[in-house]
Amino acid sequence: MQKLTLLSSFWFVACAPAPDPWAAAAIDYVIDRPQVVGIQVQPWDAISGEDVTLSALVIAPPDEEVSPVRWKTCGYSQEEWVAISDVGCLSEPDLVEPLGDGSPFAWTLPPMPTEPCDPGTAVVVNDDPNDVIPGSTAEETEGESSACRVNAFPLVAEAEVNGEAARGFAPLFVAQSTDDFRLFFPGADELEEPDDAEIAFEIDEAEVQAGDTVSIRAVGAGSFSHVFRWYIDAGYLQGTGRTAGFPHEDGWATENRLEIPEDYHGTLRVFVVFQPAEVPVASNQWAQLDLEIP
Amino acid sequence: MWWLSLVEISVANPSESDLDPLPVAAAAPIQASSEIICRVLEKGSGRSVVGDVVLDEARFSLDETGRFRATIAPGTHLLAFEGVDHLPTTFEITVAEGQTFEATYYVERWGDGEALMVYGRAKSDAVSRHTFSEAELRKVPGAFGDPIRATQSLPGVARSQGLNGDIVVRGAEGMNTAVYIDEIPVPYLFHFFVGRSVVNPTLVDDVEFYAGGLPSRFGESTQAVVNVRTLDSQPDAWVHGKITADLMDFGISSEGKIGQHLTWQAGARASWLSQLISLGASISSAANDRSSGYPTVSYLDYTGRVAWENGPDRVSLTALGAHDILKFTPPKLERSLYEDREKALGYDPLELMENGFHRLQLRWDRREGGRTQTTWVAAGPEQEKSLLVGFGALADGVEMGSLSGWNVAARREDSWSLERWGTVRAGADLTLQPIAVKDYRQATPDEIPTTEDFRIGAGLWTDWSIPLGKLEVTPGFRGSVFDFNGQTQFAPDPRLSLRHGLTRRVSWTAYVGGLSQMPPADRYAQGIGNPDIGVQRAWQASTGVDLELPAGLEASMTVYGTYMPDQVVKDERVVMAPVTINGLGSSYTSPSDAPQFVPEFLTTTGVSWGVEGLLRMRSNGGFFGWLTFNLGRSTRHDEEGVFAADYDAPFSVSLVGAQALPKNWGVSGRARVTSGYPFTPYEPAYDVSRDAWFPVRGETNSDRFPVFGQVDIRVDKTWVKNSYKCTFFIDIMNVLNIQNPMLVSYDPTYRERLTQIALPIVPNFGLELEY
Repeated sequence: MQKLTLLSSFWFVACAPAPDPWAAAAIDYVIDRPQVVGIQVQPWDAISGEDVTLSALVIAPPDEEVSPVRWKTCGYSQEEWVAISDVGCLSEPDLVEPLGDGSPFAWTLPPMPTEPCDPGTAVVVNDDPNDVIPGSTAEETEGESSACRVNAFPLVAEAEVNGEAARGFAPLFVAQSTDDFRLFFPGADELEEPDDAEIAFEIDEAEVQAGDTVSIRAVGAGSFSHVFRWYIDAGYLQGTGRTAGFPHEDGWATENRLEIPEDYHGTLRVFVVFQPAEVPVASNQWAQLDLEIP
Repeated sequence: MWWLSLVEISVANPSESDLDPLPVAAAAPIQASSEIICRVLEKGSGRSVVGDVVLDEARFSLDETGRFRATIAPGTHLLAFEGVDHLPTTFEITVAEGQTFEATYYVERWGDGEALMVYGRAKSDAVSRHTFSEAELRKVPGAFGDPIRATQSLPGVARSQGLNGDIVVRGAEGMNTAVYIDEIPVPYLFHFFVGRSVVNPTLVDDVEFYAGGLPSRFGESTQAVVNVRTLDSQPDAWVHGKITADLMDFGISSEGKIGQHLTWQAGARASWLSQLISLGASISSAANDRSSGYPTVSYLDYTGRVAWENGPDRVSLTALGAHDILKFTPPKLERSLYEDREKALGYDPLELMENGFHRLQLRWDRREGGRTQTTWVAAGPEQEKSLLVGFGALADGVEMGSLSGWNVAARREDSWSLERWGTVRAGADLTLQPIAVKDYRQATPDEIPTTEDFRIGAGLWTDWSIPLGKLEVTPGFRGSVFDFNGQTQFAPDPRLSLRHGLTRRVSWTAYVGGLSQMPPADRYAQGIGNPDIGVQRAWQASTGVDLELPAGLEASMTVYGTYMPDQVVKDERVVMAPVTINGLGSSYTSPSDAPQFVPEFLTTTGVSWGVEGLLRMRSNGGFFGWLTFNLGRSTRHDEEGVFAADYDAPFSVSLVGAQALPKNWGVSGRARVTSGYPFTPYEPAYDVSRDAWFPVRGETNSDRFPVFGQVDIRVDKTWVKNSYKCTFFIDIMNVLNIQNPMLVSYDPTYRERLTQIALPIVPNFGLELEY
């Protein structure tokens, strides 16, 4: 049977689909290690040569000292396109460029190398000819080809807590002009800027005690969110660490129920992060709720 | 009548160099006769033996049936047998007057048995040579009685990291070792996972193993060669063979002679491991009141030969092959789903691995005086399929794809003995491989991307062993032409070996030479491999000393270095994308991204160097054993720097020992300690926009597994009768159940490593019946 066990284990490692990472993430909400869980670029429709402000949410266990956030990007100054899904980019020292430290961090986008535009050629993402950016063909743009002036790069935020590193990243879309960006994201004008997509908390109970179960509602003023992500110092989230959003008069809202441990005393932090835009850009919004447990 | 005269003989096994007085066995009283007809057979098998008998100072040669006939005076006489492969034995007989006497006597084979393993280079090639007997290698624990598998305990040989049993030598990859059966190129030599060789051990005659320093007659390799030679015995008219059965498989082999010129030998083996696993799974399902899926491994191999021999000519027809399947059996309720998927995909998704090959060879050998000629042609299909991917599950071979095609090979080899001017050899070989490589990873509902190629490898070679006093110089040259993947390249490979007998017990050897090979087809196939890969080249240099020491000890030490300017190494990169399972007529794409490990092949420069040694005690007082060690490094260089090769093992030590005990009991053990192999670590990164974890690849092979250790033991007991013998053995691999990591995987957030352990303790027991 030991051999059977080995065979089985090998099967699970090499043959079976890997465990669903979303399911694993949904129950991985207790803050037991440093993590970068949110990145925000303002304005999120970054234009080459202009200033942007980068912010990151780094969570770590209470009382742990977090190092300043280090910002990097990958492939920005290269002549070649860097596929945003190719995390192998981060493993290539020649492609990784340090930007600076701190959060928020002000960064002036350097001129972005552009590929010669070939009117009539569809713009593809990640060199995948089947993944054509809508509106980028000559017929659709009436001969204009400015969509090929939009590029995307992995934007990386790193921090350390007691020598343990945390790394988060998001695709940073950079365009030569606002028009280019609107061609790339035709519905971008309707999207909220993260500044305007603040989160408000609503709690049923005025005071909470150890051992209580608390209903928490988070309301985001954004225009869109698939999912809200929750992180807590301790306890049990009945709705797990990922909850769905539903329409709310102020935007989008979500609910969760927190079971506070009976032996917990002091400040219990609750973080909620969501994505207010429909496009996968670095536009997270987050909020922190501190529950004082007597 | 002669059955009345059977004689039981029991003698110790002296070493080959031990020339003590012959043992004397008591013979049964016999009736006197003026004529005596005796037959001498091997005890335990009843085979006829080759040798002479000395009777009253007169020498008689045994005929091919082991008989001799003589006329002697009545009275008591000593009859002494002398042979190469069997113990010299003396019988005392008493002959009465006036009667014809017939008797059969049995003699034991030398404890060392016939020489089985040739390590290093053949003696005619003038560089070091070691021989290991069949008896020695069969007793190597952990090999489960498989002498070919015991090659893993030889100097310079590392354990394979994958499941396909590659022979990894001096830090190179498995693909750098060419494997042959009777010089016929075959795609693999070991059944995957369980590691049994694809040749029934009872049919193995000997094994040529070259860790490096290949003679010119071998091409298609840039590091090492293993050539298993089978069935070169001389069967007698009686049918002999062996039946083996253990927990893993069942095998049978036989050989015999028809008439004066025709001999036949055949053997086959089939696993029943899958049946055992199925039975275990059924019992488990019944106990748990639910059906669950389980993987099974099954394999079979066969070898057969018919040979006609007359004078200097020998013509033979050989068939051999092997087939392996690693299959997943799903729960009963899900089986219909998989059947539907198979129809849609165009391949069976449950057959996780399937390898196989078949060969039919027609061969003509001619030996006349100092001239030998060998001509043969062999052909047969072969296939390789694997659906396993990721984290180096397979060291070599296709991933998520298949390779199928034919292999047609032909060879002509001539040798001329020029007496004081040495020996000249020359030959030509040709390999044709029409193949197709399918890439299941890139398959669409309408098409499975397929790369078709017609590979051609042709070589002309010669070498000349020139004796110059105590120095023997063998210059050689091999010119190869490779045509594959739309490119044609010529590879000139000069080679030179030297051997100098410094003293009667000490000799010095040296070698320098070039080698070349085509890359495996899956390494340049569209989608799977890198189409820019060219011919792989290597330059090897080595020098060493061989020593004969007192008390049956011998030692050798070799310093080696290899430079591979165009070494293709397998790497992998990670992309995040929806998981798509495509096939003909259907396509399924997962709703979310998941990391996908995409193999890629890099052309690098490989460098390996080190020192390897062997200290060996030949059979002495019932004990034999050897100690091997290797200290060295194997690195790969590319544009970004230097990194350790996949099989870089800075040190390895292997100790093997076996002790014969009274009453035909035997015990043996093997201990191995080697450096852990390097691997590429991954670190987590969180995509905040998509709520997904990415594995970020660290520097290539910048981390390393812990030191590997394994202890194996074997205990056997043999019952020997005159015409048959039976052996029961217990062989326990990894008896200390040391938890050696084999693979690294990660939790879904790539924060924690989940180390997969290599084989745990694996007990095996079985029976061998030889008749």
